[in-house]
Amino acid sequence: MSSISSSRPMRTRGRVAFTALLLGAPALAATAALVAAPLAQMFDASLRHQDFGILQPGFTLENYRALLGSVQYAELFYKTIAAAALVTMLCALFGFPVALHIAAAGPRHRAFLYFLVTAPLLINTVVRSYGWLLMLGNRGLINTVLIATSITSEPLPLSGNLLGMVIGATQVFLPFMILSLTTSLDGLDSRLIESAGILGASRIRTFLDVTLPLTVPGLIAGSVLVFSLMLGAIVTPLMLGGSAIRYLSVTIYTDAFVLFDLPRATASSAILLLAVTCLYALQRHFIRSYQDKATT
Amino acid sequence: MTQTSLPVRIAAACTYIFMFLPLMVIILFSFSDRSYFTFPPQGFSLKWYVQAWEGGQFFVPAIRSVALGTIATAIAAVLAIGGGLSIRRLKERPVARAIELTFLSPLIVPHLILGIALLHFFNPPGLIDTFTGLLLAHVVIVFPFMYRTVLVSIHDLNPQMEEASELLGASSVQTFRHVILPSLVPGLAAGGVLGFIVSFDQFTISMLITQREQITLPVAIYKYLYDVNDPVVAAVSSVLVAFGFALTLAVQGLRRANLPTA
Repeated sequence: MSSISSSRPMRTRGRVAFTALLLGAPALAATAALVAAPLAQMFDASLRHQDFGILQPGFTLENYRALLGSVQYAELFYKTIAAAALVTMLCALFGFPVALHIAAAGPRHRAFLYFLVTAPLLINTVVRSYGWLLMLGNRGLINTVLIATSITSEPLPLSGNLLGMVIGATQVFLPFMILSLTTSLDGLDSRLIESAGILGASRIRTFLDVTLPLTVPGLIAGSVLVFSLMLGAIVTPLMLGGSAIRYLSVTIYTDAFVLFDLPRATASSAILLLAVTCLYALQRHFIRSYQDKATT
Repeated sequence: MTQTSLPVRIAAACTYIFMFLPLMVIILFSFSDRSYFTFPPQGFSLKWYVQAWEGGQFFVPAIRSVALGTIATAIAAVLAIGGGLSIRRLKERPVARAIELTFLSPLIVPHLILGIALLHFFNPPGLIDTFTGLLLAHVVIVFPFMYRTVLVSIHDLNPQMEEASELLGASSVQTFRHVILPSLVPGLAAGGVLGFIVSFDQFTISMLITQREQITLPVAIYKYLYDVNDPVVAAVSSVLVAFGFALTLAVQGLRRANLPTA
């Protein structure tokens, strides 16, 4: 017995690491081969010149210099960030009442509300964007109603532009924001809100001074998620915005599949990927420091 | 929490309408007998559903999407069990964090970028527009979702049970089969549903790495929309909306069934 107990920790330490690596190897190999390797190849393409569709040997930073130094691209980046920020703000604005409503609901009612919020998530983005085409098109629901009631005589341009993209994307990403806010609200101590009420604070005061500050982690988590999903989104921008809009992901798509300018497409992809990765890292950092503050 | 005030409830109601109106419009359009959108709807017919069924453009892609989702989720489950157990054994070592970040990387990379990268990566070995290529891409997309749900179950594993099993002379395979695997069933079930949904709804990457032979259902809908654009799309979409609702109810039922044990 004594020999077992003394030799076991020594033997198991090495064995644990070995079997652990063995168990994780297939998953690690799959992600490395199908994410890391293709991305590395893509990064390589972003550092090359292209002649008649063929990548040339030798590295260059010219593609990045051309992107980051051009006024057109500065405008594109600005418009992309503004549109994604607008979608994020609209999601927060629409999402907050729903999250408050869900958090206040009884258990049975709550299951139904959860159903309402999550069901659209399980419906393909292509289908949801198609629904918005039927709503926003020149002969869509909104324009038909507006013309029938003589509010306008000409159909309003609601799709095929940034406006259509923002409306559609808000609906597509809204469930993420609502779920994130609801999680945060559920962790809230309801006694705090009751005390605020007892102490005579109005509902608005209570919301601004108690509920809102305490749901900041959920709001930030939801905002980063929606913002980064929106930066990388292509379906809704392409279907509701059209291929002519000034939106980074659409420009990447056009560069890659219409203009076949691989170096420029891959260089802009690298910039987009860097932005999204930084956002996630920032969010992790923020949430962690917030949790630390909450526990101490 | 206390009752919400009236303005909050009105705002919430408007948001629910905003979320569901476009879906309702699709369903309304699918039953119209005109080939263009009218409001209020005129006539009632099921001809677009009949046409969607008889036209056959959607049937094979639908079967393919279901098969793809099932196989990709199964493969991802195997990878996730291995990956999760590996992370558990490595515990707090710095390697564990690096490995975990690699596992979750498919979640961070936007699908447009991963799609373009895979398109160029799959081109030389001839994997474009093949089921194998599609399957590889879907496995890697489903994997992080599967991994995260399985990991929750793995964290709940009781190490004493494994030690007891080993002390009683069970081999590691027997311990895995009779002690570890049964405890992972809730995580695998939840991850399985989630993984299937992720694969079934995946559009961007499937669109970029297929051409004509191996398109999936969402890609078929998108192509039809741009080639023909009649209410047949609305009919197929309505079926998907109904399918999504049914799936949501199933997930909720599953969660409730799991609740007493959790």
